[in-house]
Amino acid sequence: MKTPSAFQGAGLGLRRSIIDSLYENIPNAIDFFEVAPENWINIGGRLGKQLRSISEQVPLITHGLSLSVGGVHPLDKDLILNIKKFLDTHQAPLYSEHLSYSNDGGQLYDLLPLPFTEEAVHHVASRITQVQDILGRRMAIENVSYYVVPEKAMSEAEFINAVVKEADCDLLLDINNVYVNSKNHQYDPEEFIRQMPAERVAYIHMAGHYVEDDGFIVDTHGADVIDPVWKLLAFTYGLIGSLPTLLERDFNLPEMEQLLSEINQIKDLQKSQEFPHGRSAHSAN
Amino acid sequence: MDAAPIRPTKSPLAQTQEDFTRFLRNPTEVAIPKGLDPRRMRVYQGLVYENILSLLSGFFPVIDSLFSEEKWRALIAEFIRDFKAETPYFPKLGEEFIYFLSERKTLEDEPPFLLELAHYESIELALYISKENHATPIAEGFIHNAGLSLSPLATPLSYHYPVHQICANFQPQEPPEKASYLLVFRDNQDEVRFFELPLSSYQLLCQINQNPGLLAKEYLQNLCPENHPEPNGFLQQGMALISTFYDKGVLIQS
Ligand SMILES: [Fe+2]
Repeated sequence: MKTPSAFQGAGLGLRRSIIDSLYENIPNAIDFFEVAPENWINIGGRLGKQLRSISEQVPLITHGLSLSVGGVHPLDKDLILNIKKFLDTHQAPLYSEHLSYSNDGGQLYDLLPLPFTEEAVHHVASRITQVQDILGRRMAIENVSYYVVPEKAMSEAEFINAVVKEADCDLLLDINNVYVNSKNHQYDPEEFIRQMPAERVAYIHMAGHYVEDDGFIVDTHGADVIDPVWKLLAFTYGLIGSLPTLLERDFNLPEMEQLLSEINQIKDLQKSQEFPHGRSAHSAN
Repeated sequence: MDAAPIRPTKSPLAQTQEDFTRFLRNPTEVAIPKGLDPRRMRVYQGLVYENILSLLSGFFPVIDSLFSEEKWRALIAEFIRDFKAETPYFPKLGEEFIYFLSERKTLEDEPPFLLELAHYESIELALYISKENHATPIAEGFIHNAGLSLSPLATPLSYHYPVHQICANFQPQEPPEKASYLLVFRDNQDEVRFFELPLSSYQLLCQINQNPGLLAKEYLQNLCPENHPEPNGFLQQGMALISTFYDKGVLIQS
């Protein structure tokens, strides 16, 4: 059995629709799984048992959706406490959320863009700090895809750096989001990755996306990973090391074989990279 | 300088988010916030809308199939516009939709059984994912002197409309004379099953649920009409019924 206190290698986003075929027979290539706790908290019955079986076999990390850490409405303490319990139950080595908001007094269940302002930096950093205090551990925050910038007093890279520094949190670096944003907002994705706080990157996300007729990209997690994103991943590994990397696929799920070939592609890239500073996979706390 | 009207001051961040989300919730009446690209704002609006639509279509497949696409989409738009769903948990979104339906008047051109059908459609998932566990069965014969209660994985239900039969070809516009009584139950294979119940069984299960801990005999004596011509036969039939529920795990030791 793999140690549940840390995770490494290549992982797969775990959806309800694939758990039934996986829990008794986890393919060797999959080193860890990731779930949205908001899909699994207080889930018993068959699904609950299957998830427990999975987290007894391989590390399960968590990637939240509903915390609205950038929102202006009160943090949902009850949710945070339930996440804490969930992390304990599954000995999850990591909890991450999005650098965005989803709540306007009610849930919109989507990742809405924050303005890149000083005010937003302080606001979101203080909320991340509160969450980390309740959880008693550091969390990771993910760079999201965004289609508009409500206000721009600094660059996205400056915004992310400022939040991570002020909140003293980790970064979940989503390579696909970097690529999507670099196209939609015309910037150099490699330059952006060079600007990220390398020592804070806890792990990496990979995904596919949807390109509209005129080149505008919508981040759907519903397609295969494209070549430029693979190249960007290789670039990132070369820069900051072969960090644990998760393949996200939320819609149009293909056969497991296709998912595994993408997982193996991640692993091949990881193997072909030397760890530049002899660094080991990050573990929370 | 003119005195400004007193109102709580909103931070710029709060104002930005309010302007942004007001448009997402009500894109036909609220303007796109100034300075933001209209096409990209519609992308956001589409993402929010389609996500909630696909979640709710998954929770309520029968309602989805009875409504025309246009009407179903309009109902979801109304939900997003008028209702602030609070749950952070995705499997609970169906319950939020039921609150929304119960607070709103069903429209003339909507089926009168809409709310009941929504409730019926939500109960299967609720039991399927319930964290309750099955009670360990107790020794045979014990049933006569055990205090009874209803399994937390069993729910007796009554509806004015026969919600379990409703489909595109059967949409009663008025409730039939007799209500429908159902039992929904997660069995020990964690499969959720529905049973139609006669009124008397429904009443028995409700009584045990409301007042757990009594003996089988006591429930039956309470239910037996005073002028019943054959109280012994009633008791015997009742015991047989209780045994069956007990064997299936619908009734457990309290
Ligand atoms: Fe991601």
